[in-house]
Amino acid sequence: MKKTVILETKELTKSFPGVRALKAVNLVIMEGEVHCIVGMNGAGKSTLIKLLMGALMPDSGEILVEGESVHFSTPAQAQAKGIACVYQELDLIPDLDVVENVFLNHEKVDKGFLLNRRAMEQATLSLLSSIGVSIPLNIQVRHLTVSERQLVALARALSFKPRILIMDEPTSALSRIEQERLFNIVRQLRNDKISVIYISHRLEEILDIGDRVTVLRDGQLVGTKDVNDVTKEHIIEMMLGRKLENEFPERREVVLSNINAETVLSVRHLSIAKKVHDISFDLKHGEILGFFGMVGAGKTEILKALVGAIQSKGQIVIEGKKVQIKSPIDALRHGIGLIPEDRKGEGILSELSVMENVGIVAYHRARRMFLIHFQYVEKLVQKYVSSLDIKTPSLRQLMRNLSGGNQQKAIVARWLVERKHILLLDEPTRGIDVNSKTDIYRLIFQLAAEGISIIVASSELEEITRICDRILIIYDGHIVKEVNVDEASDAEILFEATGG
Amino acid sequence: MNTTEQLQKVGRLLLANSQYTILILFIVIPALVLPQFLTIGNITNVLSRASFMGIMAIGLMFPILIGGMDLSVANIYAFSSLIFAYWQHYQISLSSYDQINLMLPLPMLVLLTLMVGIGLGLLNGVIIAFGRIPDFAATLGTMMVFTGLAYAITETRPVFGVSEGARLLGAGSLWSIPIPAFIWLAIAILANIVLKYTLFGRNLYAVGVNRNTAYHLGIDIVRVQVAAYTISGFLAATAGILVAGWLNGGDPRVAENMLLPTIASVVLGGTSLAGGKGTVSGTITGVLIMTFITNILNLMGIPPFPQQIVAGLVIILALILQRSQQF
Repeated sequence: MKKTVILETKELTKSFPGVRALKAVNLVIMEGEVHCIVGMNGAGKSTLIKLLMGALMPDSGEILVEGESVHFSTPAQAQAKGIACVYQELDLIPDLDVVENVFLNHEKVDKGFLLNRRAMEQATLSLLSSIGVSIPLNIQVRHLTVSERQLVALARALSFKPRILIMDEPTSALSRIEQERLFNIVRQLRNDKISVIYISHRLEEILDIGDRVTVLRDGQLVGTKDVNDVTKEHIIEMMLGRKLENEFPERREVVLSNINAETVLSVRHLSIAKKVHDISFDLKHGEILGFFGMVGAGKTEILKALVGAIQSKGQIVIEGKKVQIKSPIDALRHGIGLIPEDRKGEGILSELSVMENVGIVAYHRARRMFLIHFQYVEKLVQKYVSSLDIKTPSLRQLMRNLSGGNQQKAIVARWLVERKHILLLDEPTRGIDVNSKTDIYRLIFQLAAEGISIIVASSELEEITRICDRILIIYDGHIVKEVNVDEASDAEILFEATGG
Repeated sequence: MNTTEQLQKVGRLLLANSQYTILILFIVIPALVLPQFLTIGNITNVLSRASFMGIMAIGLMFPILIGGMDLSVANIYAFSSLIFAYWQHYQISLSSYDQINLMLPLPMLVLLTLMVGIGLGLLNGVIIAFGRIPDFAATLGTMMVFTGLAYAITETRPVFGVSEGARLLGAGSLWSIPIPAFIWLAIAILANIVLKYTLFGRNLYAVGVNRNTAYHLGIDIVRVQVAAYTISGFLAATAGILVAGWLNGGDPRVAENMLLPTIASVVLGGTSLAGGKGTVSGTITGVLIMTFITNILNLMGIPPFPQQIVAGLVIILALILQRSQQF
């Protein structure tokens, strides 16, 4: 059977300030194939999707659909060329019903302006039955389960009659049975000559469902292989590639001496509805404990539960005392500080000065009578801004004008100004430049050496293996394995974190 | 430095602080054109009117700074003025007819009225913070409740006659400057200190800039919210007491046409409706601009309805000017 090329990228390149997200990528998608794309976080998968969908424009290079060069500046243009996407964070409107969601922004109309609800209902029904599911049409999407929403999102994508369908982590929230149903749908799409670009962290899945697999690493296309010619181990090797040694400071020596250190934090049977299931672990004095897992594995939820920002069940013991942590206010009182994953949304105060962003945690003890003694706070802040080399023209500069790396350093500086003996860092180096990364790693080492106990959650394997003493591998809300950092190979850890 | 550069610098400075520039224009231009404008009588009048709205606007800033809104301020203001007058009226009547003096001393009445304002503000805060109801909807509800309460007490009739002490408080003046203006100034200074130099003030800005971040920093959002609405109620009642003295009575209708100009003056003063940004001096400026607009149009003899059109357009223009300085 002769196969034709349906989509091709030539030397596709895209940069963001400070980062080259995609470097000269040449991707070839054949008609009616399931083409998997894998890579570590930051490898460029999301950027690639956004370029194909017209959500971003390339700096250079071109995209060819059936040999014809196209230039998308909006997703609507990509849809018109037969490319549709089911995003990982399903972009459905919870308050609209199934039909309205499927036809949002490309509604069927009569006489140019009247909505033809009946036609849309019929079309939705036939789309849903074409993928072999039945979901009530008039129900608000908020009442559906995640997997049903997934199918509605898929029906929406198919309503554009795509020739190329992109699926971004489609199974990250599905159970095994739901996953199998989705695979059947994907196989059926393949039979209908629709090309599927399938993005996933789960390598098992890729070997099961894919025809070919492309590996991205650091924005570059490492290779495209027929799935019959590769093993999981082979793909992992391609994903990891060669290491960037110089990014990480010298490893500290104290690793093994920590085994006998006292336990500072002890967590027993921690559960978070639908996200985390019965987790228990100990954190020792001056230890750097790593949580490694893919996006959505439940790391963020565990850290948030520890500071009371989300509800959980289970027992938390700090220095031998059982504590109730119902909100971050309690957490601070018990000496736990969190540096959240979502820097922009939960970390910084963008419209306030650098001084306030760092110093705000110290205000309560910088008061004379009722008034804050700002000179005192400023002195404290200045000390850490200098020692962490936070680049800002002055302490009065608004936080939003700082680069991501400097913002991150400023947020870390908060918990230096106001010392906490347990520090939780969630994806501490996401989206920041190499120099700032190194600074933050150094700082983590320094804090641990001073006796602060640290948990680092990350989906970057290298980061975890380089800075942590001990690693808990998290998959689907469970701790699947605990490893000492010198005992396990990267491939083994990645193997466990992708579902064994 | 040559003159063009200096001029450019001055221009940038004026544009960067557009609300102050506008205020200066609103004083200088009418002073040149309208002979009645810069008279002691007129300025005293403007200052009185500005004081009532100004005190309320400073209170309203607190909820707005945390990204909220208090639609009930004008009604707390009217309700407070009414019960303050009502208590005095009722007791004055008693003492004159029954020959017994049941009159509570004025400071007690003032305190009681302030407590009512605090109570109503607290109610707003509790509904919003504990009921987790959007501020807009919650205060829209209480606004209607407070309006109804005010009309129920008076059976829609205004109450006339307050004590001499209350008259002095609302309508008296010192060196031609109205007493309410002094009180406004004192409140402004205090509010400025609270917002800039206290833990509560800084937490207020943090919550307004990013509620999620504030939450993760261990700031007690509920407490900040409740306090903000309570302060709003407290200052609205303060303004209510003064206006009762000024009008020599209480009238539920003082709430009418008060809410939107007060919100407008806070916004004109540079406070962001999204929260986290705003200063007391800006709000004072905004209030003065709002009051001057009405006053100037009155002096020009423009009837009320065209006045509203002009006032609305001026507000929009002023906001466009402010917007442009951000880019």
